[in-house]
Amino acid sequence: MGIDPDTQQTDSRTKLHRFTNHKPLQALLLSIVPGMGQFYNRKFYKGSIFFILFFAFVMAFADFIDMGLWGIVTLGTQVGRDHSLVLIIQGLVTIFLLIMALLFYVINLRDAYKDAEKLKNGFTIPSLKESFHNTYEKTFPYFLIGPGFFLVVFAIILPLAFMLSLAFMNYRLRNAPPAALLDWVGFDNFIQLATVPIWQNTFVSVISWTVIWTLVATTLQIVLALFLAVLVNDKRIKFKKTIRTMLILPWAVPGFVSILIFAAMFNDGFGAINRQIMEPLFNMSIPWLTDVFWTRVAIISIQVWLGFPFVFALFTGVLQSVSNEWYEAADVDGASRWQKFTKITFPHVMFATAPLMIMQYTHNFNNFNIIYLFNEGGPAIRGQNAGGTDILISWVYNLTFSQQNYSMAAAISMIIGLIIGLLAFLQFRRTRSYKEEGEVY
Amino acid sequence: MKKAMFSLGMSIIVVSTLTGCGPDDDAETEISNSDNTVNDNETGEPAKPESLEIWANDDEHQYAAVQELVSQFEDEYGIEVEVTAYLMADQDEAFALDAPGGIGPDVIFQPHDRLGDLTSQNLLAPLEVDEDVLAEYTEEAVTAFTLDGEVYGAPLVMENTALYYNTDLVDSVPETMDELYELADSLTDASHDEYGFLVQALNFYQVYPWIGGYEGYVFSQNEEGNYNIEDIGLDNEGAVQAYEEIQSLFERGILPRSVDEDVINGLFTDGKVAMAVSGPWAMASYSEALGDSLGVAPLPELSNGNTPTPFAGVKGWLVSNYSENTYWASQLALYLSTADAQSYYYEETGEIPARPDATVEDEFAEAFLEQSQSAEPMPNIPEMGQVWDPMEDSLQFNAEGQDPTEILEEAVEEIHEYIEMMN
Repeated sequence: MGIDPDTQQTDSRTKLHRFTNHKPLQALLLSIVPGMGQFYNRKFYKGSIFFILFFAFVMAFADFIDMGLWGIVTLGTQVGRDHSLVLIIQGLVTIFLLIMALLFYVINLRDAYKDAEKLKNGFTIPSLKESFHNTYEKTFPYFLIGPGFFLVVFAIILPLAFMLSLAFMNYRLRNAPPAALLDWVGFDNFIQLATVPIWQNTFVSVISWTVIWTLVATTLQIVLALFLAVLVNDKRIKFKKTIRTMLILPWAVPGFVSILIFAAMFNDGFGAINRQIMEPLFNMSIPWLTDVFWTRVAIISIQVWLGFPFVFALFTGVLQSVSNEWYEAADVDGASRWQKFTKITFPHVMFATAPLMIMQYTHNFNNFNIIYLFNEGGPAIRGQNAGGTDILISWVYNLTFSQQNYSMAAAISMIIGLIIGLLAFLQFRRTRSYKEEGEVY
Repeated sequence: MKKAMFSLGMSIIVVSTLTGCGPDDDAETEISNSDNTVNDNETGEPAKPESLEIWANDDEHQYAAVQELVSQFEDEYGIEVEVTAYLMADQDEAFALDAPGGIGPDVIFQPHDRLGDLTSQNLLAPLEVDEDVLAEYTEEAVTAFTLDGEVYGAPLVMENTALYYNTDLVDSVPETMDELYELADSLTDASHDEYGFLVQALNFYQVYPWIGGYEGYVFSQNEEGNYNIEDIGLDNEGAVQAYEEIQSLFERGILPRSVDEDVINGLFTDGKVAMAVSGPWAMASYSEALGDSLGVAPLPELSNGNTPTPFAGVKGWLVSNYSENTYWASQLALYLSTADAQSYYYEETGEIPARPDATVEDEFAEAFLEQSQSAEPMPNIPEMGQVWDPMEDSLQFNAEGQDPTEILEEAVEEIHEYIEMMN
């Protein structure tokens, strides 16, 4: 494509043949109607296929695309007839279709031009059958991932795009379709989040607790898991299997069940923790569900209990693969127990599991279940519309379901997504396991 | 140069798609709304459709009862009805998606406080019914389903709280609340988990009988029953008095500070609670646990002489605005809530009927019905959704012993702010 056709025409070394006067530019221009350029190149089969595809696409989708573009720009003009949400989805599908059509169009233009150039320079172009064969050989993997790609577009990208568009609209209960039409409001929702007091105050305190929660709960569960895994892996420990099974048990009970049971156990007046442990042993009872600090302590301990077995299982597996010879070599060098741990065990375990550890952090950042099921984000704090243990995601949930402000929820979710995406990206980039082999050192 | 060609081609595409964009505005399609085409000349009724679709609550007994009633309707009217079991709590969302898509049912089953949400999405058609038919239901039930002067549903079931008591511990319920507290005081022994009187004092729904009884209110109502969202009466003298009374129960040790639904249910079924406030939904498990020792009575009168005013919840049949036969859908909804139908439904499911002429031969149900005389329908406007969270928070502060006037003022301010943000 990068060769200027004008210089080609004046090339003196060009031999005389049947297509000397063939003009690639003309082929390109003709292909503005797909297939015509191919006809000009005497490729009649290919030309007809291109033209039929083009014609069929226009026939089948013209109305749909017309509606889709109109819909996503205006979001409907007539209440009752137009349903803004349906129009958005139709508009998004239209955009996908247009991208595909554009791709086809570029291929068509490029094909006409290249073939014409080849003809002009005296090459013969492979027949349709041959070129089909070539393509099939070269692009076989693409054929295989085709259906999967199609699914990805409609099952993952479309809903995401839908959510993203909601963040820029005014979709809330008072003007919910089909009774009303939505409008594009640009960054209005984000501006509100930063400027309207009731959002702004709470946003800051919620996001700081979310960060603390993520760091403390996840780090503790990893540390505990590592400690136990190293301990259980010690040669002197007997009944390894039994101990491992016991330690993995919390993982076997569904989180929903455990959390609800814990919520009952931590009840200030009637829970087992205060009644059977705190009162008889320490002669005091702790306000687990009504004091912000103690609720946070309780919820972090539960998360550590729920979360460590997975990390423990992971570490145990990795520890099996640490070569004994390394420790023997270290012994010969006179290394201490602590040195062996920090120089051999720890780097080795972390090297193998770092991506999964990052996922633990991102998971806890969005760990809706435990926050919501334990205490619904409580206890209440005066002058703030989120509870003391509400993290971003549970706060969004509360606000959307009591406020039914879907656009704001989409906007906050987008912020959550950006934070997580950014952290995950940066961290993954830094871990060795993400790099190609050979780049390790 | 090639770039120029390319952009020329692209602009041709873009221009050709954008010109004459969108739907043809002349061909206005209107949502069919009671303008049924052919009228039967003799009766003045619209032509009968072949079939209707209805969603019943996904509960074994309720579904079976509706199916039985529907088959009677089929015989009588010659219209086929398809009954689908759909969990009541999920119906509204599914309906909001299905109905505009043209695949929704003609009739759904919902509690009345969902009305505001559903009508603001334009999903409901007013019930096509005569005034004298409506007069057969209790007035509360009809007002509960009335919004902006239109009646949207055929009431089937009423719910409100009343007082359960354990006849092993108390013979009968005292006449006044103050006497009840005295009695409760003498029966309470917290160290053995024995309590005289329990109420979910951290739950706004459960505390409302006191607030309303002392002349507090959520939104004021004009004569036509329309709510004024600017006027919230949850921080007036009455509401403060109610909060003070509840707070004193904590201070006297009658109510434990961590009292919640599970605790009350657990202790009451263990026979350790003399009196507890709850709704008909607790009936099955309470009577199973206590048997003949269970009693139900209306809440005794407050110190100002008023009867407490629990929130009334009414569940009933709502007609889809997207139904092509709103007339016949209304007939079906009404048929499913006649006196006979409600008596039958009560017998099969134990749910308290929403009209006084239904047969209820059960002292428990009668106690709930008596209490319902003083019950106030929960506001059915969408703004009600903004009330719960701030009030629930304020009840927690109340239990912690903070100043009721202050916390209620804060809560009301918060509700105003939330309502403002809805628009």
